[in-house]
Amino acid sequence: MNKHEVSDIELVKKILTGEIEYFSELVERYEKLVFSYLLSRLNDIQEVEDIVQDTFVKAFRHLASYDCERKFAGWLVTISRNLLIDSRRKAGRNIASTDLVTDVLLSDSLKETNAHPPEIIIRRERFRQIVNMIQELSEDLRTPFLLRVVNELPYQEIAEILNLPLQTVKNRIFKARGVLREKRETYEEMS
Amino acid sequence: MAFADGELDKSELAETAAHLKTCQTCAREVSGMSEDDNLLREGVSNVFARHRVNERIMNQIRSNPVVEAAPVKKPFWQRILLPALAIGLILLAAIMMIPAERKYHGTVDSVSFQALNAGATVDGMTVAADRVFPLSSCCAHQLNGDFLFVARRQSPAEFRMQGIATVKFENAVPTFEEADIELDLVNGEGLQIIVNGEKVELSAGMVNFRSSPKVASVSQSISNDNAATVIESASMPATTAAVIEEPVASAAVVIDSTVDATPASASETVAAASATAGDAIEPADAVDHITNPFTEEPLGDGR
Repeated sequence: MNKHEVSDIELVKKILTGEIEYFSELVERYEKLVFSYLLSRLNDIQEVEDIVQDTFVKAFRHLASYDCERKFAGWLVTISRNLLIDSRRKAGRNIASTDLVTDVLLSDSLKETNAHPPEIIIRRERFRQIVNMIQELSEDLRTPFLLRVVNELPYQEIAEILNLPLQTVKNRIFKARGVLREKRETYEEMS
Repeated sequence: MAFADGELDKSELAETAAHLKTCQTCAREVSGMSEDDNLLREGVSNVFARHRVNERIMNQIRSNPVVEAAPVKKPFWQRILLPALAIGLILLAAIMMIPAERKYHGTVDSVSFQALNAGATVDGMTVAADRVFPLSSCCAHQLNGDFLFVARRQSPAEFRMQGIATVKFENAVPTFEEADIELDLVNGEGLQIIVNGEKVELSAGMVNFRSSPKVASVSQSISNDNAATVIESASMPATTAAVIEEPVASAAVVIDSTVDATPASASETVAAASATAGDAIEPADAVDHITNPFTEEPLGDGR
């Protein structure tokens, strides 16, 4: 059977009976989701990495506690959120800043082999604007918005993961897009 | 905006698409939004690709493949009100000089099981006698053979199951379905379980209980040696909780069972059941107790 055809529950069952390598499939499925979730709440990329790792290791250790009625992704996000709270508590709420934006801007993701340098510069500047605008969003708007755009999750799944009513998720994404549109217009007027 | 998110139904989609063909303002808006989304997705994906920790995660897990047995978080009324009520009842009974009736535990905190005979199978696969499996709410297991169950709670209990059954941990109660089994409480106080939809109260000295009267014999693969193991176990003064660690190289899950334990009892039981030499056996009190952190707070919106 193709591993990708196996449901999360089936994978959990296999892992619980000793086939631990199947856990890498769960990591493959949800690492980006946890990463995006934390990215929207932390500015230190090293801390994001550490909490992503801790989230999955803790999930493995407590796999027997996983309630199969819940979405596995939602469970991971809950673990991640608790670790994030612990981390903030330890740090005395002094969160490092700006690393993420720098890191993103230093990435070569926006280089396109067919693009001319001026286009690259324009796209980088645009990207920098988008990141800045998103960081100005409140957390409750930013998280569902990023799960939608970065992870391309449907509204319903975001609602299940964040344990929010579907309509609330729709409203928040709608509101996030509205705020971003206004900010974009302001940026454009300024430039 | 729902159009950009692909969340419209067919008729709404057609209507919006038709509108966008005639309205340049809206078309520009949607196009700009999609471009920004793509740019953001591309940028974050690239950062993610450079900061993946999947190998770190798997290396950490392989180096210590321990899955802890599942604790069950009891609701408020079970944690506070029920004990308070029980204490009140006990005091009342003492005052009235009436001997308290035997109490059966309705639920347990966690359950694990292990095979006692070499031919025992879990989900159709033969399992080593030293492998301990946690019983979780999401995974039913098909068992065939001779098994020792350890139910953990304030006062732990051990019972033996011989035969064929599908077992799961439902509402904090060990539940056996399609069961053709014998059950025998070998250690600890009375325990309530469910067999084929019926509540069964296991108590000390209750042997050869058979859930299905149609079948007369037990699984043929049960050896006399293992029967001796259980008899020996039954005579032990306290129940068990054991940590069993397989060699790391085997990359198998190891179940870390923690709760009130009598280490000597734990070691004896596991050692008797185990057919594999060289397994590391630790007393439960050597293990770092970790509380379940997952249900402390409902996942909210970050506010």
